[in-house]
Amino acid sequence: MVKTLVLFLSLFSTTFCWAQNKTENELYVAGYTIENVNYPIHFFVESKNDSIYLINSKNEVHVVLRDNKVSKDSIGNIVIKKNKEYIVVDFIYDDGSVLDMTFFKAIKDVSITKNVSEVLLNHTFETQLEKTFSSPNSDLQIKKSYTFSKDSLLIVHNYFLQNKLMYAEKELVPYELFQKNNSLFLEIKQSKENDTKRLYQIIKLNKNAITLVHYDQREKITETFKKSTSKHIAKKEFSVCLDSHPKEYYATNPDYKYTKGNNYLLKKIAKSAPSTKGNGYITIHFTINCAKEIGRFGVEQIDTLYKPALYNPDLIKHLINEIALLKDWPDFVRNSNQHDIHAFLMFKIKDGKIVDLCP
Amino acid sequence: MSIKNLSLIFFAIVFISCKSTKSENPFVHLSIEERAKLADYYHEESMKFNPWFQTGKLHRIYKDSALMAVPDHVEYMERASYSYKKAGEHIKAMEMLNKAVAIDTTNGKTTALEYKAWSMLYFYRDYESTIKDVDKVIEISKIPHKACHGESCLLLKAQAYYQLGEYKKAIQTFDYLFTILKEQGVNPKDDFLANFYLARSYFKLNDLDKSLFYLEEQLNMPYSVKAELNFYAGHIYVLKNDNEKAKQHFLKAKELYLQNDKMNEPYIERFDEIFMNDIDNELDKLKN
Repeated sequence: MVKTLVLFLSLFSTTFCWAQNKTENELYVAGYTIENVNYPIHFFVESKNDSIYLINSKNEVHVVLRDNKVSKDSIGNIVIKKNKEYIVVDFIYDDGSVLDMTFFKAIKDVSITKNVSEVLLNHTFETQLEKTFSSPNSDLQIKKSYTFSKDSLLIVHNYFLQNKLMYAEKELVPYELFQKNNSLFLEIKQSKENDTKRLYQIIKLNKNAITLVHYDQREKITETFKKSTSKHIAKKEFSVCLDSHPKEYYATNPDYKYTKGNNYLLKKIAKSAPSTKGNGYITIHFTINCAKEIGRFGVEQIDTLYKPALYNPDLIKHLINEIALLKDWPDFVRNSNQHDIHAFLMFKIKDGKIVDLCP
Repeated sequence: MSIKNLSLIFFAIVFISCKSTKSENPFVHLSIEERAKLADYYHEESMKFNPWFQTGKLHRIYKDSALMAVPDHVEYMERASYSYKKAGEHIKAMEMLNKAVAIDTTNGKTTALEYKAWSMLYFYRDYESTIKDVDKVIEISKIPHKACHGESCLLLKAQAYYQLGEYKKAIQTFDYLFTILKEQGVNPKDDFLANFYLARSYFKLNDLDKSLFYLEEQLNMPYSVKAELNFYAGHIYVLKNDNEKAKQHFLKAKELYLQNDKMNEPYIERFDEIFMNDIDNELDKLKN
């Protein structure tokens, strides 16, 4: 009898635990919508009792969907694909087009100081990036800093080469800090032209550092900013019009080329360019926003065998600063997901002089 | 140290190295046929991407996966290099393309080298390499009129000479191309680019009449690009002190430019392609 009772209790507790697991809330934070362009969204998904709840950052429930099922609403079919780490919600429209939203499991292993505002307000935190979100880069050391004030966030990008400052740009953007299910989030509005915001989970915060997590094409991006007293003052302002991956220069019709052509650019930029040593190419990457302003730089220096090379940093600085001044870009028809362009100019170097411009 | 301990360490090293090999290439246990099938699948998936997104991470993951399954597949390697070239990441683009060319040419094939010749001319403006690559394509294939990525290899070679300032060699190469075209029953006048750069080569040699002859001949062809032809004809009339005719050509160039009847190549700017400010500058000079 006791044996039977023990067996019964074990079975009951197992069932209870399983039920507990099933009803436990799982919080997923929005990575992006439209995976290829990484369009920012600021939603959460909560997975509970075989249903998922699409919730905004103000805690308002937008959609409730049955988990692992194909649902139908006024838009069309909705397919939920669930993985160990993320949930993809596909909204399938009647014309067959699909809008994907990807949500990543909120990180539970976090270390956050209690006095968040005190630690952040009026302090600057700096991190080093391999590249900006919108331009490739292999050679610049890019330092991005956040300075928090009560109502806004000052974002500065400093671009260095061989420890020399090449260029600096700044932008002042709205931000918000809020808590959701015991996790702390930073919501930043980096798009100049519309109201899209990107969510960053704060996974570490103390008086010396802040660590943020966001997502790009299924990859988790972790950025650790250390407290900084950097005194580089950026004068130039630059913001992307939409905080998504920009269009490539060849993805417009016709290609997005400077309206005055390469020969004009070559004469203008090479005229007072400092000389260098060697032969090869210097590629300057940049982003052109919808107001035809230039920023978000990247550099690749190669020799004639297409291997990494080094050229005079003064020449690179000259090239970046000359490109930043270019105004005569054509208009382009924006699509709803991309409002900016990634372009590059590749300068051919022969015997230390700029001799050609490609492509 | 005992033999038992030594054996254990040896076993651990073998185990770890086997494991690390596996992690480097997850398809190592598959047969050649299975790997080829898998690579084809990844390739097909990568091709579903809109070209606009071919510089993205996901597209590259599919491309890399295909190459992980079949590491020496020339076509997949060449195509994977496009993603980097389009994004302006040239170290990676050329590393992949050079590897594709090395494998291809070792097997007596020239497809990758043909694309490299095209890239050297238009993308990298490396004219010496263009000539070298075209010569090698013709030498290996034994076909004098080979196509290099959609254009005649000889047209690429002639343009390379033109850009190097070796105008006589450019003209000789165009003439050779025209001879081959005639042998194949093709009217050489139908090749707009070859005739345009032939005209430009004569212009650079100061043979204005011959240059004008080829420009005007192309102006009468149905599929030529008219804004550039008029612009450079206008140039010649300026040098011949016939400002009235020059002005007519520049104004015509402007009109055609606005109708988009001009050079307009995706990805690259063609040699001697014109822009509105070039036309306006010439018209301004005539006013003064």
